[in-house]
Amino acid sequence: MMNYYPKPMSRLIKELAKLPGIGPKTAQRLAFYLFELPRDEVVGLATAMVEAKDSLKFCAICGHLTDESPCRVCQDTTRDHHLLCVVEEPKDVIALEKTREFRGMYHVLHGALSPLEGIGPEELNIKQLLNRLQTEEINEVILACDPDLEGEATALYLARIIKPLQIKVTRLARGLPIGGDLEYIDEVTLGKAIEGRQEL
Amino acid sequence: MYLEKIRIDNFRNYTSAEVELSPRLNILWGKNGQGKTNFLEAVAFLTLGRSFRTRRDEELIKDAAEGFYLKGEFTEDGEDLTLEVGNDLNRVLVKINGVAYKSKRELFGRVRTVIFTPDDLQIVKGGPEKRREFLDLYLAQAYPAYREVYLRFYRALYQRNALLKRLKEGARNLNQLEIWSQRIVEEGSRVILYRQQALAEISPWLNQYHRAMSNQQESLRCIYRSPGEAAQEPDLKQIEDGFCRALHRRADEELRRGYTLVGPHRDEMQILLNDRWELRVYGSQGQQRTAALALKLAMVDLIEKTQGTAPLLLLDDVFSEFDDSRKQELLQLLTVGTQTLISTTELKEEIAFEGPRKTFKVEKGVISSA
Repeated sequence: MMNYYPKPMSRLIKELAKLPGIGPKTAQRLAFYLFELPRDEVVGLATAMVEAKDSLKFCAICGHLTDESPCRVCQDTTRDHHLLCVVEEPKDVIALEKTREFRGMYHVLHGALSPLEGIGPEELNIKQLLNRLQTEEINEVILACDPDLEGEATALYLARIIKPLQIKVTRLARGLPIGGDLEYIDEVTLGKAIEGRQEL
Repeated sequence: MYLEKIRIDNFRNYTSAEVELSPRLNILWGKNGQGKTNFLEAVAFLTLGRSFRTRRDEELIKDAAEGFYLKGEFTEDGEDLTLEVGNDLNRVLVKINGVAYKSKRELFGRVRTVIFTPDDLQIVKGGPEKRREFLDLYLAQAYPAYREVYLRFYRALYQRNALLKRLKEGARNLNQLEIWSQRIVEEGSRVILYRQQALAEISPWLNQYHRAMSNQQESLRCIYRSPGEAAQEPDLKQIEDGFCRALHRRADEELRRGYTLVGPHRDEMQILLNDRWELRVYGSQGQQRTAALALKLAMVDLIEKTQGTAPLLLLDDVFSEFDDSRKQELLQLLTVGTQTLISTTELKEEIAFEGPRKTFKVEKGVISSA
């Protein structure tokens, strides 16, 4: 198929097809779309990509995605610096920030334990976490790993190494989604929700 | 739930067939190699999302055809269910009540099916993995949550095995191992609990069926064997404790070998004749076959009890090795309300059955009313 296109077009399709979730057909459609776009919009897109790549880095303290280090959350003196929330990915920080409920600090692990993928504690941002727990005055660590197998194993692992430091360790509650229908909830979630029931 | 009508296109030796079935007994009659088992395989494929004979769906496509297509129309108390599945140039088509789905796995569990084939002798005679496969397939149908629990256990197991392999190769991080041990104990104990409960539940049916088919001579019992050796009554806490202790005992060996040696993936279901003889070792072929059939029939009862509706029962070549008295006993047992499809090479007149029945003749991939 590639050979039917002029070289710049087939190169563009090839590059687009490398992106996650983009197959050859979609790449082809996107390439034509880009070709039909006004030139300054294409330049805008290309510059945005290069600028993002060049200016973004991980915060030296918490590991969150940022254009300045330390990041804005770490610099914010109005937040509660004694409360630390541990998450797997930068996008989890964004999700928690959107709730506007949480006013503590973050720590991003950049993944979860997964021996199958060769990810052990050394591959995660754990050493820096321990460092923070020893130098900063933190009263409580909230473990907000994903509620899947690897996330729970990671939380379990962290709880074990943090507890000896005499710091309170908690994790997010698990249970029913707001607006959900009880009859459609899977058995595992429902079981956890019964386990974590609260007195009214 | 029963299968009212099935359409089979380019599947095995069928070019195109459409059959309306009896809600009770259906007899598929014909010589060997004409397509009786293929017909049962098509029914099983629709309801389980896979074949009981092969993992490779390409094998199911008729020679020179590009893909197969199956459609089953089921009904229960006026509620209809249509399942469609096809395999076309390696693309899978799955539709449930006309709505397309991506995976064949979606078909599983909508209509429960119990299958007995001559190969099921291996459940009794073969290695422990055959008995675990048997339990897993029917427990997933009897208890919808079992499949989820089972998959979670296996995922934890693969993670733990990957870690043990790394540790064997010289990596060091033993406290991570404890975490994964805890995970497989938590998930695996629930698998064990389901299996123990199921065996306790089917016990009276199992014995009853085996006695009936052995002229009231023999009793049959299944015991779940786990290195944790649980107490008399299945209890999650006790299973977890036993599992933990067993893991602990073999910790050094696991590190040396580089994989998990304890858990439901290595447990055994022992089948005992007259409460003492292990049937796998001491049984005759006839006794083993009867026991395998009794196990399957007991699963019909279990599924009916937990799901509130009887599963389809597919019996492939079930009469071939039974003498006349066992044959008659079996037919008596089938007077329960289950839709049953039986394949046989015998003359239809010999099958005495009171109740709604249809007989089909199967010859060279063509099925017709007989």
